[in-house]
Amino acid sequence: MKKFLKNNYLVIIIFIICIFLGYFYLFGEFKSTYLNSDDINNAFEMMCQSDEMKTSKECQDYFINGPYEDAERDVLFIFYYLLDSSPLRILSFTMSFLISLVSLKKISTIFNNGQTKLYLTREKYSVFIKKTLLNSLKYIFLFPIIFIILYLGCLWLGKGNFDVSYLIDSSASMIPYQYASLGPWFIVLFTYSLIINVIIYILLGLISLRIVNNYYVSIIISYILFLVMAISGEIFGELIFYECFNIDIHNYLNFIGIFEFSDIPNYYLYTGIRILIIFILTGIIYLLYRNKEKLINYTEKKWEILK
Amino acid sequence: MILKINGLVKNFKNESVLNDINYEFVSGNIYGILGRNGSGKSVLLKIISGLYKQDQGKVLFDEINYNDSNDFPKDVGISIEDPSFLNDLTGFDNLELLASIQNKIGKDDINKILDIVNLTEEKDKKYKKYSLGMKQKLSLAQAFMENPKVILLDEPFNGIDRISVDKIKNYLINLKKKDVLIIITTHIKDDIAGLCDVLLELEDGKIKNYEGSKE
Ligand SMILES: Nc1ncnc2c1ncn2[C@@H]1O[C@H](COP(=O)(O)OP(=O)(O)OP(=O)(O)O)[C@@H](O)[C@H]1O
Ligand SMILES: [Mg+2]
Repeated sequence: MKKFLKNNYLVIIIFIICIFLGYFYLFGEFKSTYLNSDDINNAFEMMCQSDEMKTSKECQDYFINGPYEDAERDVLFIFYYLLDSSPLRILSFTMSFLISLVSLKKISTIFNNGQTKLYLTREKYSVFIKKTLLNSLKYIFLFPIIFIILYLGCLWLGKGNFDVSYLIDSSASMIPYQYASLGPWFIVLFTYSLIINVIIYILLGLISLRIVNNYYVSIIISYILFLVMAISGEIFGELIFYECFNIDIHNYLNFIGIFEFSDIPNYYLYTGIRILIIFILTGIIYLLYRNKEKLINYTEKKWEILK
Repeated sequence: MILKINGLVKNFKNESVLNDINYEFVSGNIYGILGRNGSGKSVLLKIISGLYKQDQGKVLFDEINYNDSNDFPKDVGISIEDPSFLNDLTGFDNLELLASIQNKIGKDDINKILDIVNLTEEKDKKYKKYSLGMKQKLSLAQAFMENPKVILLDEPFNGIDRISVDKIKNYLINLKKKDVLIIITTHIKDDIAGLCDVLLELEDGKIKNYEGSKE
């Protein structure tokens, strides 16, 4: 148990902070702004106490109709406010960083102190490298689990209501009808696309770990790679596809707004592009890690820059 | 067991380190390879153990070539220069972690080896608190622990005290009698004098018999 805590403290901290921030938002700010009518009722009570206001039209209406009832919102409306307005919205561009932070730690320790050589006199290179690199993939599920737990909070607040007509009328820009109409199944789609994005972050981390053999610097490099990918996405989307070919897939190449489904009617294209990127990154990783002697050389020298 | 090295060549960028090495090592012997700094002793051992790849030539363990397929030679214990283990684990835990890869030995075997290299007292200390000599002893322990048939030792006695060195040498002589093949490199001849059956010299990228060894 103690060992588990020690080895996974970063994961645990990220997990607790995200869950805390999410629930704090849902049952605090969101509930009081969008669901509770206490504030508005209190305001009326105060206002209508004075004699001169009592006879005003607003107060008369208020007295006749009684206090406002609590509003009801559907689960997806709530979930989307969580993604769009809570502090967790910054995850759309910090998740890459956090994923590198947790997924590179163990591999970096192995690469960084010549431990590699001791392993490689006991197991085949291909086995060693697969095992080591695949170890980072176990962090795929960190954020999906966090969001599923937060989704349960939304289910509770929305009382399991998936009648999305209000969501579609009120904020058409956030989530297109075809996704909203999935109802409870939307979370499956959301989780799936989240996992795909996280895999990309992990692969970027593995590439940067082979560029510089230092935990902290490789996290920074992996974030730079992420930004490069995001900017390239913009350039491809805006300049090449739109300006040259008049194809508007700009929103599909938006790697920073991972919570926005607003302008991506074609889900297959969205995931297809990302799966293609995963294949390309995997190919790059294969090339970078293919050579046993080069990797050993790399691990023998701290701060070695790619050779 | 015969370890045959055939026409081994290794170059780094613009530097030729090993240049046509030919030799047959036979089990039941202790070989000492002498050579000045930078003569290529460590590179030779790394190639034999499959960590580096030769540019030409072959390394054959009883006619089996592990090197070409990125494989590692089986039943070979290796202590290479600058040993490095995980800082936050104890010496014992580090050995246990390595042993868990092949799962050939248990806790008792590890303790036995720790005793042989005189590290029992410090086995529960964190590796980062180890002195140079203790680190070297741990490196030897991991090379010995899995009952290898071939043992490759790169400057094995660096920083180790006399009493421990004598104990380890006795252990090596015992292993030799059990038909283990042992190859030791060093740049200090006195380190291995009296221990080795055959003294070799690595010079200009070639292996030859040490001039003084026939006296
Ligand atoms: N990974 C490497 N990349 C480039 N050159 C290397 C590499 N490893 C060794 N060399 C070069 O090969 C030569 C032989 O190195 P090696 O470490 O084998 O020497 P050595 O005989 O073990 O020396 P020492 O007694 O100092 O340990 C040196 O000139 C070294 O610079
Ligand atoms: Mg050396």
